[in-house]
Parts: sequence; C-alpha cells; structure tokens
Amino acid sequence: MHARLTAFALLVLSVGLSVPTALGQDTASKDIRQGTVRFGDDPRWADPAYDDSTWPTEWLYPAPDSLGIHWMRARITMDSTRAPFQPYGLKLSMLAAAEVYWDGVLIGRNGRVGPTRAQEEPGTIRAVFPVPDSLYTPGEHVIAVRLSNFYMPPDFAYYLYDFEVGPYASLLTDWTDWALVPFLFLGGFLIIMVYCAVLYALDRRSTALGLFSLLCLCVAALLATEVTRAVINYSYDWHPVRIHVLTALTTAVAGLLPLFFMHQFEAPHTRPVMAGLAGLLTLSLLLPASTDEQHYWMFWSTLTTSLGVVGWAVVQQKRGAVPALSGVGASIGGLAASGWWFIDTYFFPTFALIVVALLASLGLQMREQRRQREAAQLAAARLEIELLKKHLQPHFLMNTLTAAMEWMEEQPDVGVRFIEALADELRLLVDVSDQTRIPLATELTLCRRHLEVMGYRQDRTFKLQVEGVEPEAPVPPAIFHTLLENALTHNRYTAPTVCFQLTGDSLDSGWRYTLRTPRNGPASAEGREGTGLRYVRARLRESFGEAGSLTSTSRNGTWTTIIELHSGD
Amino acid sequence: MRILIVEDEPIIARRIARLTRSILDDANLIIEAAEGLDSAQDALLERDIDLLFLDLNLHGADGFDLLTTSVAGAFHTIVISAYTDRAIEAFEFGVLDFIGKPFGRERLAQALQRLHAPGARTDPPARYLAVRASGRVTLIDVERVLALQGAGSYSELVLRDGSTTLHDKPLKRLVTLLPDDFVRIHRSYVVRMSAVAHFLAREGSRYAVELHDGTTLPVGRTRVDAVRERLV
Repeated sequence: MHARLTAFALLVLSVGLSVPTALGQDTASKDIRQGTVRFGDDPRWADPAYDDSTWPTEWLYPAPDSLGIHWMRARITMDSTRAPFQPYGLKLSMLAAAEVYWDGVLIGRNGRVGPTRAQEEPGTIRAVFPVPDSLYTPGEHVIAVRLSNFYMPPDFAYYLYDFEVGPYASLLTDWTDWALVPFLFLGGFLIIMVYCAVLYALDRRSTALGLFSLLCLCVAALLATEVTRAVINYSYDWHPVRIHVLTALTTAVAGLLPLFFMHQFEAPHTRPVMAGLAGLLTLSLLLPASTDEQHYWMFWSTLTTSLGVVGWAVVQQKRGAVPALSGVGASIGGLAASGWWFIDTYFFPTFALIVVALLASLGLQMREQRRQREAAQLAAARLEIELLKKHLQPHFLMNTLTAAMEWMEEQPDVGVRFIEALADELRLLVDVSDQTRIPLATELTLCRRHLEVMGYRQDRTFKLQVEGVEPEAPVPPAIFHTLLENALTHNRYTAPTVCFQLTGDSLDSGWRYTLRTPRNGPASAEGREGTGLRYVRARLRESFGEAGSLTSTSRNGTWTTIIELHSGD
Repeated sequence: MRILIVEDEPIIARRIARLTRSILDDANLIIEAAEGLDSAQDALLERDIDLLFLDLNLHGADGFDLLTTSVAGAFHTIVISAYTDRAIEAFEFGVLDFIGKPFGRERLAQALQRLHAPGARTDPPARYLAVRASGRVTLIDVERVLALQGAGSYSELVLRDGSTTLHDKPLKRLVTLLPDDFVRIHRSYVVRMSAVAHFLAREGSRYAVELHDGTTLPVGRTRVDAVRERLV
C-alpha cells in the first residue's frame, strides 16, 4: 500500500506541487517484505531462537484470509552505521489486533489480541512502536507478531498494509505528509462545488452546473474517504465500512461524470446511455474480485462512456468539448497506466484536469453569453436611438415646424390640430422606443398620428385601412410606422387622398401582416434596402428572433411588405 | 422680377411664395415653383430668373452638386434648408443667403433685402466661383481671381495666370458674393485692390490702375475718389 501512496505522491510532485517528505534521513526506512505466517498460538513463537523452518515459507503480502490468532515471523538485518540520538521504530499497519516482539522482547501492543471475537480488542489501522536502543543493534533480528483479526469479514483479501523499520519520527509522519496534497485537492474540489452550487442556485436552468456541483461534492467525499486513513487512526473494524463508503462514492462519481457531460454538451439519448452505464457498473460490482478491482472496472465504464459523450461533443464542435476531451483522455491514460491503483494515484489529479477543462468551458460559455447579452443591449439601445433620431432629424422636424408655422399663420385652427398630432406622435414614439413589443393598437395609433402630421405637411389626406387584426397582438415598436414613413419619403404622392392598407392573417402560431403602399417614386428608390427597412429587420430580430420575417415586393404600382410574427420563442 | 422656388414640401413652397409676395410688393413679380432641381432645369436655363429659393438637403450625397449647379447660374441663390450646420459651406460656394428652417417673415425679408441693397456683401464671402463651361460646372478658387470684367449680362474672370473665363452672373450680382477686397472701379470692371500696384492719372482726366503684373484697368470718373481712398 505504501508503494501506491508513494507513487501518488511522486505523481503529484510531477504535476508540479512539492510536498515535504521524510525521505533522506541518515538511515532510510526498511520495508519488511518477506517472512512467514502461521495460524495458531504458542508463546514460544516469540523466541528468536525458535526454529520456524518448518513454517510455510511465503510472502507476507498477501497474508492468508483466515480469521483467528496468527503469528508472523520475519528477519531483518541492521546496518552497523546507526545515526546517533536517533530513535528508531517499527511500523505495523494491518487490519488486526497485534503484539510485537523484537528478539523475543514485547515492544508494543495495538489493541488486544484475543482467542475469540469477544476477547479481542481491535487495534487501530496503524501503529508505530519505538524500538529500544538496547535492542536496535547491528546484525540480524527476529520480529514476531502475534495477531488476531476476528473483526474482519472472512473474505477480505488484504490485511497487512505496511510493515517497516526506520527512524521513529518519519514513521510517524510519512502518512500524514502524503495526505497534504490530497487535502489541497480536496479544498479545491469543495470550493468549486460551492461555486457551481451558487451559480446553479442563481440560474436553475443550468442543470449541468448543478450536476457538476454534485460531482465535485462526491469526488471531494471520495478523496476525503480515501485519505481518512492517513490522518485518522481508526480502529480496524471500521475499515470495511470505509470500503463500502468508497464503493458508494465511486458509483456516484461514475454515474455523475457522464451524466454531467451529457447535460453540459446537450447530448441526445441520455436515458439509454445512462441505462447502459448502470448495467456496466452493476456488472463491475458483481465481479468476484477485490473492491479495488471492482472500482477499477467501474472507472473503465464511466470513462469510456464519458469519452463517447465528449467525443461526440467534439465532432459536433460544442464549446469547451476539446478541453473536456483532453481531461477525459488524461484520465483514461492514467487508468491504463496505473491499473488497480488508479484511485490512489491518477484519479484525483486527472479529475482535477477535468475540473479545469470544465471551468474553461464554463468560462467560455459565460463569456459568450455575456457577449450576446451586451450585443443585444447595444442593439436595443441603438434601435431606440435610431427611432428617436429619425424624428429629431432636421429633415423631419424642421420641415414639420415650418409647415406648422405656415398653418398657424394662415389657418390657426388647422395649425393647432397639426401641432397636437405632432405632439401625440412624438409622445408615443418616446413611450414605445425603449420597448421590444407593443400592442398592435398602439402601433396603429402611432401610424395614424404620423399620417396626420404628414397630411398637414403635404396638404393631402393619408389614410390607413386596417382589417383582420387583433389589437392586442404584440408587434415590435414602430415597424409599420417606419414602413409608412419610408413610403412617404420615397414617393411623391400627388393625389388628394392616398390610401395605405394593412391586412392581418391569423396563422397557426402567430400573425401575417401585409402592408400595401402605392408607389410612384423615382425608380432609384427601388432595389436597395434603405435605413428604414434595415431598422424594421433589426427590430424584428430583437423582438422575435428567428420567429419574425420580412419580405418586400413591388408590383403594378404597389409596394407590398409582408411581415410574419410567430409566437413560439 | 422673376423668382423660382425649388421645394418639395408644398406647404413650405406656398409659404415662401406668400411671404415673398408680401415683402416685395412688386406688381411685376412672377413666382414659379418646382418640386426639384431636375424638374426646374428648363426654368433655370432661362436668363430672366433673378432669384432661386433652393430647398437643399446638404446631408444628401448630391446636395452640393445641386448647389454648385445652382450657383453657377445667372441668378442669385438663397438656400432654405433644415440643415443649418452646413450654412458656412453654402456661403463659401457663393449663395446670397442661407435661411434655416423654420423661418418667419422677418428672416425672409432680411434675405430679400440683400438682392437690392447697394454695396451689400455676403458674410462669409464666397471662396469658390462655380463656372459653367461646356456643360460642366467647375469650381474656381476666388484666390485665383485678379479682376472681373463685365461682358454684357455675363462676367469675365481675369485669373492670376492671365487666363480668362466667363461666369453666367452679371458683374453686379457677382460682386455681392466676393470678399470686400474686390472693388468696382468702373462700370465694367471690378478689381482686387490688393493686386493693384499704382494708381495712374492720365491726360484728359482719364484714370487707371496698374496691377502688379503690369495690366492696366480703367477707373470710372465717378469712382476715382472711392478708389483712391481704398489705395491710401
């Protein structure tokens, strides 16, 4: 186990973080990897002179699965060069209660070894015993361990994790030193969890953010559960509980990761994909193998599923898909390289890569949203200004005022009505200019006021005939008004009465409006799209997006403009 | 007197005509109206129009083209425009006045007064003179003009390089638009005073000025004192 932890520590170091380690003391720690184990109990087995040559010769790793009292015996040879004033110790990390004998002398106890479950007192998962200076001498020593493991489930494969001799201080701290970096990751995941949760709370529509927050929580919990062992020296009977928690969290992470990607990239077929993944995860859990191996296959299931989703997103050119693909790719590489040790080594750093990838894609999405919002605001402001400016333009305003002066001097009562109509039109324009949709009735009033003003200006009657419309139907402000204004600007009407026609047709999901204006202007006004039509198009886009359309044709002396407004947005 | 109004707003054209009639109080006054310069071409080419009221959108692409065509004519041009911010430019092209919309009777009267007031000059004066030559209108920088000579109802511009060119406006109208450095020295001559080198008194009470380039131009008897005064 220590080797795995070291591998993780080295990996983390290679990622660029440094961790203080206890390596490089005067004398390095020695792992005890070879020895012999025997089921049964006999006090003579502590004696270094006892002949254990008839015992089964086998590796201490892995130890047999049997429950009850065992003895382990191992030999270790000490160097002659011992550092002065350096206390030495022996570390034993195993799922058992234990007594440790050094050359036949009892040097420490972890819990209480007992012949039955009731008589055993479980030891902690890790114990470091000082080796008295008098015993720690150069030459060969025999270490005997008497142990009982009644609190383990009978099929638990590994119970000896760490058995080593070395400088006492480093044996005490090397696990906690290793835990530093995972805790850094843990803190990071928790902060990102809170951040995404807050974003999700502010905008409930972003399911992906909520899922990611949950995913970060599960990963943080998985990481916490994983490193608990390094900082909390719990009694070994809790170990199976911890393993079950790990399995539950691994399952949650395995499910959430692809689910998150599917929401993030708006992938189709969520249900069948998730059902397939659930099947794979169940199969992994049913494997007759160690939990580490089960977790390993669960990671394969989730990462390949994620790879499929993210790969699809890349093909679809979804925003942020490429960083996500690199994160998942790195995870798969790590999984292939580390095998069963994935959770202890590559998982957290590569998950951190996925987090970075996600944050990058979130950032990109937010920037895009902000850009669109800003552009929309800018466009709205521009349209508002454009509409108001049209009526502050000298051409309209000054000509209107001059005509008003003439009426005031010649026929003051007409002049007064003229100015009233102008005031009404300007007031309405200011009211509607900053809105995106107004009732058609308001728009028609605006049109009629404008026609009235233009009628006084040209000493002609302009009429707007309206049929088949719904007064409350929403329209963008000043679109018909602008089209009429266009007609009046580009044509020289000579008839005493000029009639414009607006017809409304109810469609399944909205309205079609047809505006007919008589044409007798110079031919040059045709064909090119003036500022008026551009304004109308921009307003349609702003208020109705893709659900609005405009077509304009000229035939037989009539200019026909068709505007369709659909409500489904 | 014959006045042409080019204005596409019928009420405003009516207003200009009505106010002009009441101001000028001239029994022989003829006022015509057209909606645009293109439809007024025939009237413009006739020689007997005295004044053109021109409604001009100087923000439009061809606003200044219309303006130069108009000021090249024999008549005076008064621009009536909603775009008052272009007034100075209009004056530089040689309009008699620039009336911003909206306008009342008084402002119009003030503009019409310039038509007849003796010695009236536009302010600012023209910087360019538009000259119609072989169907095209070209602009001549006033700085290049040394003197003007009356030629019937036309004027001949004498330029610094010695060349001459005809302008459709009679001398009397043209001098109204020029800087006050240009002085009428003779019934048929206007000269740039800063170009005069000597004042020459000849036998038989005949007077003349000699320009720096050696050209001599006659000075009318009635104008001798005024010319001498300007030269001192």
